[in-house]
Amino acid sequence: MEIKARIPGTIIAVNVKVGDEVQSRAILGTLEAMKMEQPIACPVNGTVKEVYIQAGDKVKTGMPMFVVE
Amino acid sequence: MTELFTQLFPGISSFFAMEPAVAIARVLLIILGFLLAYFGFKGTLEPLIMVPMGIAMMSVNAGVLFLSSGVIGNMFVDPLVSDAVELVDIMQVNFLQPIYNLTFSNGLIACLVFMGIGARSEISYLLAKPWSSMIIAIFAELGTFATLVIGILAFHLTPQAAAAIATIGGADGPMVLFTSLMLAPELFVPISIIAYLYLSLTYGGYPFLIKLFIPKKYRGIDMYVEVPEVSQKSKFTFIVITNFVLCLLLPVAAPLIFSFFIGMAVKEAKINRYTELLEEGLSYFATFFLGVILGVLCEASTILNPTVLVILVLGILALAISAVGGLLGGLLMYWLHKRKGEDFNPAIGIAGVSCVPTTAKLAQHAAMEENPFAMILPVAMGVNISGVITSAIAAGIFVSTIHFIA
Repeated sequence: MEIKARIPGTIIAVNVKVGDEVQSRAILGTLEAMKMEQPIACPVNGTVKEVYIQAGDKVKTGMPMFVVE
Repeated sequence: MTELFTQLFPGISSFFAMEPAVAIARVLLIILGFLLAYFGFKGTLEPLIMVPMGIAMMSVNAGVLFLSSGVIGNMFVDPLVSDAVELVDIMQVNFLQPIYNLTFSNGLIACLVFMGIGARSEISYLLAKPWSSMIIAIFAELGTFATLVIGILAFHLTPQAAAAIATIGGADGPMVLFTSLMLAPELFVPISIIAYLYLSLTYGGYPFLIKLFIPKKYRGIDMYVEVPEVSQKSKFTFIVITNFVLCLLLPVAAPLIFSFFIGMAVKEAKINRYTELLEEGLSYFATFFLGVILGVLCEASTILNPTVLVILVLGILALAISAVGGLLGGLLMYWLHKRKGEDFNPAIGIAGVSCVPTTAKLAQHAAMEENPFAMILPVAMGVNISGVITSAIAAGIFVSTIHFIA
């Protein structure tokens, strides 16, 4: 499934890479929006298939950030 | 021997030369200053204000000396000088006097902070749910109006003093500075200190109120909202026109309204250097000196005023009632949305208390504690910005109509 940005902001950390096994509720990365850090939580157990972002990227609402299957 | 000691260490000997009550207050304020700075350092209190404020508070109460005229004073600031000639003289001596008289007591520093808040506010969040945001923000002014009434009826304050204290319920530091200067300049020092102290305590107190008023199962409600893709042009036009209308309607609050909207306008106009200046430069300059000035104003003889106790009680009442009002507004919105089959997280109500962006952040934290996937920040920010606008309107109404009460 695709994990999309819910709020516009800047990616300040990406904790996973393609191929990583992740548990539900694992923190995939951190998004900074309006001077607040928001952890990006993983909704499912699975494997990271795609990472579309890297630290420093600006994201808009609805932009896909990760694919976890 | 004593003479020599007095001359060498006036800071210490002045303790014994002043009235015992003032001397005790000095000691207490030094301890309080240390605690504020320490808890600011630990992050329990807002460090941006509390670290400079606490250290300044300790220093001003430690650095007491005998001035050439024989009276006891300090070389930081004298807030009570009002005579023009005397003021020019004292500006050559007290190093913070220029900052105090030229930026603090005319509200400029509040306006600079507000420009920074404007520059980091995103108007499109407000446009996502404009009506809900506005209604919650109006609910969150409950404390402001309730405290006005309580202050006049129960504490027999003048309407002006009660209104100045009541603005603490709007939870906007700059707004409180501004209103108390306009309405009750004699209480300006204690009101602004207590307001900032309480505002940094909301960080610890409000999560408790959220848990008290919003049932657990509602706190984790997630909200999918489409933040509308509004064009830069319509956002800019909206900001410019709203600013014009509010200035026209509330001339006394116009400086603050202008400051907030000019910050938003330069951001939408993509004048990045101005946005950076307001957001990173001026607003930190202003916040730093705000902390320092508030600290040095906590000088024992200035702060020993019986009204301080009343302000302490009314201030916390104002903030608590506003929070409850906001949360009730949130519950009302939850219920109204539920009838339409939509989700609304009632914890967002706290964001109506417009301490930007603290209360929006608290709403988001409360939601994430129950549900790590909940994202209510965009809506909470919209409510937050509405809160700033309604507080500005409330302040404007107070300043322009309070004389009718008397």
